[in-house]
Amino acid sequence: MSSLADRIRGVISTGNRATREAALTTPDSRLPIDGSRPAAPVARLSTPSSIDLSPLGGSWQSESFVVDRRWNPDARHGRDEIGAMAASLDRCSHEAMLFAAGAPQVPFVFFDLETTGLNGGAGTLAFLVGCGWFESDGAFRTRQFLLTRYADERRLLESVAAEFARAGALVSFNGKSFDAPLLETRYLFHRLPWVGSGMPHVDVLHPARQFWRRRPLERQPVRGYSMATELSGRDPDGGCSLVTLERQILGSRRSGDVPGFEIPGRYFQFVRGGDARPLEAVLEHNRLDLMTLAALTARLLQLAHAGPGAARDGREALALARAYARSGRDHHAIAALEQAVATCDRSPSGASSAQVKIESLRMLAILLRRERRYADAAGCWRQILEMRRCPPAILREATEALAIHHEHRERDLIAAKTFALLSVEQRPDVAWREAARHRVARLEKKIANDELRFESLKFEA
Amino acid sequence: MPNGDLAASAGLATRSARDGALDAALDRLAPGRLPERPDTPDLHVTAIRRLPEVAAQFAPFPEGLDPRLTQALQARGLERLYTHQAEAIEHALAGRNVVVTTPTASGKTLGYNAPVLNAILQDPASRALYLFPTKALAQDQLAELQAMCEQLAKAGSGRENADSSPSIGVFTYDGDTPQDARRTIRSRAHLVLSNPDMVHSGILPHHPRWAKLFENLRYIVIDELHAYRGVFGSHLCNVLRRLRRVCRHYGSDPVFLCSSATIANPRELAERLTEQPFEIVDRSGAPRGEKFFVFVNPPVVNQQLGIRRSYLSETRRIASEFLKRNLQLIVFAQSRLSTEILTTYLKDDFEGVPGAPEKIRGYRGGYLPLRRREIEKGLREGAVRAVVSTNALELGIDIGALDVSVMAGYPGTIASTWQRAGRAGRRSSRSAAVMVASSAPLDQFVVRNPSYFFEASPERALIDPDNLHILVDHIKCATFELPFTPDEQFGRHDVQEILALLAEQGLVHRASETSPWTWTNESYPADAVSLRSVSSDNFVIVDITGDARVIGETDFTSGPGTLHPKAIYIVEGQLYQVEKLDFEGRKAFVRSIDCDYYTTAITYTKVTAIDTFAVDDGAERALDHGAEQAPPLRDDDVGAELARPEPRNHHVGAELARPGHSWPSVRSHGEVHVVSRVVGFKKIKFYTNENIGSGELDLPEQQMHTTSYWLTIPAPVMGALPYASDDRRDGVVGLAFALKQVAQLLLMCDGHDISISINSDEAEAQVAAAGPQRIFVYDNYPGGIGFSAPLFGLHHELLVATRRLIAECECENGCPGCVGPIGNTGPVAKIAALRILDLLEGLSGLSDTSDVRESEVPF
Repeated sequence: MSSLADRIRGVISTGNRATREAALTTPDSRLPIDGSRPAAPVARLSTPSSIDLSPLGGSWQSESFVVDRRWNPDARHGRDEIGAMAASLDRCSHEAMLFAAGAPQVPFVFFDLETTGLNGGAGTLAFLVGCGWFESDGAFRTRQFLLTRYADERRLLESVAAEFARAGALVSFNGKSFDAPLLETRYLFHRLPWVGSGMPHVDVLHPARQFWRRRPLERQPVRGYSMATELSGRDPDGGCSLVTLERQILGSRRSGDVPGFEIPGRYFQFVRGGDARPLEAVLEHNRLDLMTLAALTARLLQLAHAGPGAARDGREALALARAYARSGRDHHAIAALEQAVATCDRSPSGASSAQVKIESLRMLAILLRRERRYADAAGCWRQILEMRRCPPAILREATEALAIHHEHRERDLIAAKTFALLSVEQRPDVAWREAARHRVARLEKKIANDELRFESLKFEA
Repeated sequence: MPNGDLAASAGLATRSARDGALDAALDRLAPGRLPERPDTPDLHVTAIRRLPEVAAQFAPFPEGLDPRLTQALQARGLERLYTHQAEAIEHALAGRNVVVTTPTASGKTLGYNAPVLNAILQDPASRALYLFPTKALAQDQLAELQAMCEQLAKAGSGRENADSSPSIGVFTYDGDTPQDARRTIRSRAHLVLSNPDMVHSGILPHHPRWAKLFENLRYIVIDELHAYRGVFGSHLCNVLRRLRRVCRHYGSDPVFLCSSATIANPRELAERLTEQPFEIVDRSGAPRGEKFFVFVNPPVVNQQLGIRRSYLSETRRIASEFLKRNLQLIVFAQSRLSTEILTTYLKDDFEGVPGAPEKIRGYRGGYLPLRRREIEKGLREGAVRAVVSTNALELGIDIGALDVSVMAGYPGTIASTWQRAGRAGRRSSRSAAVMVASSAPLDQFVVRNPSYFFEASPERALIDPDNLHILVDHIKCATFELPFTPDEQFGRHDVQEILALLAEQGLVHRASETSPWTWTNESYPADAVSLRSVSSDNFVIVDITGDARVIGETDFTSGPGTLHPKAIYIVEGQLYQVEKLDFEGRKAFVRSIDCDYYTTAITYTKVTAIDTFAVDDGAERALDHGAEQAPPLRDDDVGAELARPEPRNHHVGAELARPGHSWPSVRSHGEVHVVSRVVGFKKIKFYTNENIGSGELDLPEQQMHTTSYWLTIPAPVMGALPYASDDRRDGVVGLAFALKQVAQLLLMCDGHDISISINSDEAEAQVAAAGPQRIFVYDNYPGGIGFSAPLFGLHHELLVATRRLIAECECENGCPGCVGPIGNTGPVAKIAALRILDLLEGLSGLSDTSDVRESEVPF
């Protein structure tokens, strides 16, 4: 008779096959580090009575294991000095309102989690909570809370809460959809109040996409997918992972960085075997992420403060305009858009530049119309019609806007009819064509009436 | 006798026009009376039963009910309760788990809605979770509950005192709930209407976000309890184990309120599923009008091949008789395809010009929710005169009360037949249910033995929550949700041992002997577990006609049989041909194709007994079979204390067995090893079912361990058969075919739940039919799902009923209705199979088929 244990083993091994296959379909949940499956030998290791945490260089503070590090003001992260970042952040902190609801103010606490999985749920833990902030002397400090035993999670969360509580705003990278909900679940699990609720939260991922992503505008990625791939370190998302931004925007390079998909495996290895060494690189990865997040934030706020003149290219100016427009600063937005169009005209190479120009002109036209600068708005639409490679949707919008403009503002019915006729051809569907034909018919009637009136005037004369 | 009733009732003067129309239609169906009735020539109506009218029994509102609730109920026209409603409410108010099993449309829902709303009125923090087997049922209940809550709010606001009724939040929470609405629902819902799959993968793994619900969970309502049998039920039991574990964590201990259709063991099922003691309420106080139940067997058109007139044409004719007389009816078809065919027939016959309101509608899975709601409304309001439906309308969707229910084909179980019949039935007037048998063996057995149906109790619902495959999957999910403490129990097996083995795989870990087990894997285990199958392993079907896209999936076990190269794969009438099967990658690549045939796989299966749990050589059969015990269960059986063994003679099919003589054959049950391999396939032409070609295949073997019942035919019996060895072999094959059909009938399971295999050991197969023969009837799921032990207990009934099925079949040499189509089995299969059964029956020549033919067929 097959023993129960053997039967269970049989069940588990067949079951695992499926789990593993399923896991492999998402690129981030790879096999644990060094490719080996943690098999039976791992479990046979008796749990060490005392774990050697010395490789991590931390200390116990009120029953939590904490790793503190400091970047001096004169140190550099990429092109910029830490002290300079601190200064610009201090100077421009009020611009954070552009990127978060509420009233974000200093001190900013940057945070980033390392977790045991990407799926969330009660069984996914934040085993490392990294926090960072600028000190008054311009240094950057990181404080990392490491979960050394599952049983200590509650105390860890309490320590983290104390750290967060003194913040004027939390700053993260993709934290709104990933880190904050996950952490909130942990607090809920332990029936602790979640400090993050009601606290302003600047998620730099969203502005970063607007300002720095290098890819065609219309191909928005699926959310979960892009998050997973960004976190995994590989970056088909067109250059918007933290590491890519670090290289391209800050001019800094990492060597020997841990790929994101290896991180949970390294932690589990530590949990099972007590060897803290594989975690060293994870902590370093987390610290660099915090530093880069702080640097990007500083750059973002500095840009918002300095205005479009400081933009490196059309895309940054356009993104700035969007941020201004969202907070109702239309005049700033118009200036930024004019700057964006001008920048694109200066260096017209590449499809991306054309895209930015079209987008900018469109937005400019809408804002100008809102400002009742109808002729200027029409000028923008006309420029759009002259662009090659214009997306059909925007083309239609432009023709229609011009038809309306000429009919109602300019009272140039012949021109209006030309645009209206143009728009009939632009979309195959019946409803659109009907509407466009309707406009043409109305214009023809108006034109006829005008001619009649003209005739009668002539007659009277 | 039933005919006499019909005649007598026809003489009654006081009856509504509708009753008159119904009588006329039934009279028309009843054959032979009038000379001018050439359309009903033969004995194809095999039974008409009359179920008498039942008067209502009322009870006052129980004391404990909040007056605001009773007032709201009264405002909705409910002056008093039926007895079963009052009884259920009293149990619930007293905190006792209760299962209510009363007929369709008897007002079961009030039995659980009242205590739930009562609890919320008394403490607005209270919460309740409703589980429905389908999303559609949850939607249906949502409307009713919301109406009731509005009534409560209205009653509350009308009064001056401040403690008026709270606003009660009722929401569905399932796969269709938009992401951005979920947070609101979590915080605002008093009543969460969901399904087991969503609880399993969407609620339990996120329990911290549902803390408010779990802290205050007073009631868990499980509607349509009978739907949770077999694999689905075994999974649900584990989901409930997890649910109760999470409740304990938050300090709540909810009461279970369940409702079930009529099955043999509602209380046992409830207790098995929840592992809690239950009260049962099974006496309905609801009134019921008189009802006629008619069995129809389409006439034989080819005696030799045993071919009958198409049951679909017969259904069409019968439905027309009712429709013509303006009676409202529901027609149940067995598949989506036959639903569409019958809808087309009836539309052709009865629908007016295009554009006129549709009187005839189809209804099945795959229709959009909006269309479904429209049809349901049309039925309630009477604008829709007939609906043709799959089993989608068998469960409690509110379609009002109809006049007639016509079933095209036997629904497969007694319970489900009653359930479908119950969709017709008004409280005060007459109704009818008609079952039209197809030529499938099960249908033929039931239609020819109406007493089997009318007198037997319905089926038992079986589950095996401790199937290791299922259990281990849920232990993973449970660990993800909450760490396992060192002394915690979960199911019947030693969970600590299982956790230790999971730790070997690195899935869980504990810091020391005394610390809890935690989940140490980055996956989300619930995602890998589907409640509707045993193993999560599956094949996905990729359509490469255009851009590659996934169009479906198939569980691992049935993959090779349906997705082998050149197989025709069908999705909603669209045909695809498999171009490549990537067995390792679990993918089948298909291309859209236009052809006039489908394929069936030829599978070679070998079953080897590994471990025999029980064996009975028949020596003592004569002594003990009347008191056949609850089947022996594997190791320490905690389920046993919950199970209430019933006297065997109340059991399905028991009345078929004549007590007092023995079957000197060996029956066994135990664990088996099944190896199967798809070795070829046949191409079968649509409509004519001609075999138009075949092919060979070379696919990897599939293996599983499962549980099986097996019948051993001793060598002397085989030796005593006066046939050539090939013919003897045919007899065994034919017998196995029939056994499977009957086993399915006795076990209340679906066709694919069990499989048969003959003569596992090659050595025996070599000596052909000279040695002993073994017929295995095994559970078609890894680990088994609990059919083999009961089948072992039902051995006697199995053989008697099988003999009856074969002996009473009107074909000459075998047909799909008994030992299988003649092309499969050879010319003497039928007679050889009967001979084997005779010989088994004590080698005594008691082959008296005469007394088995009871005085059943009245026409």
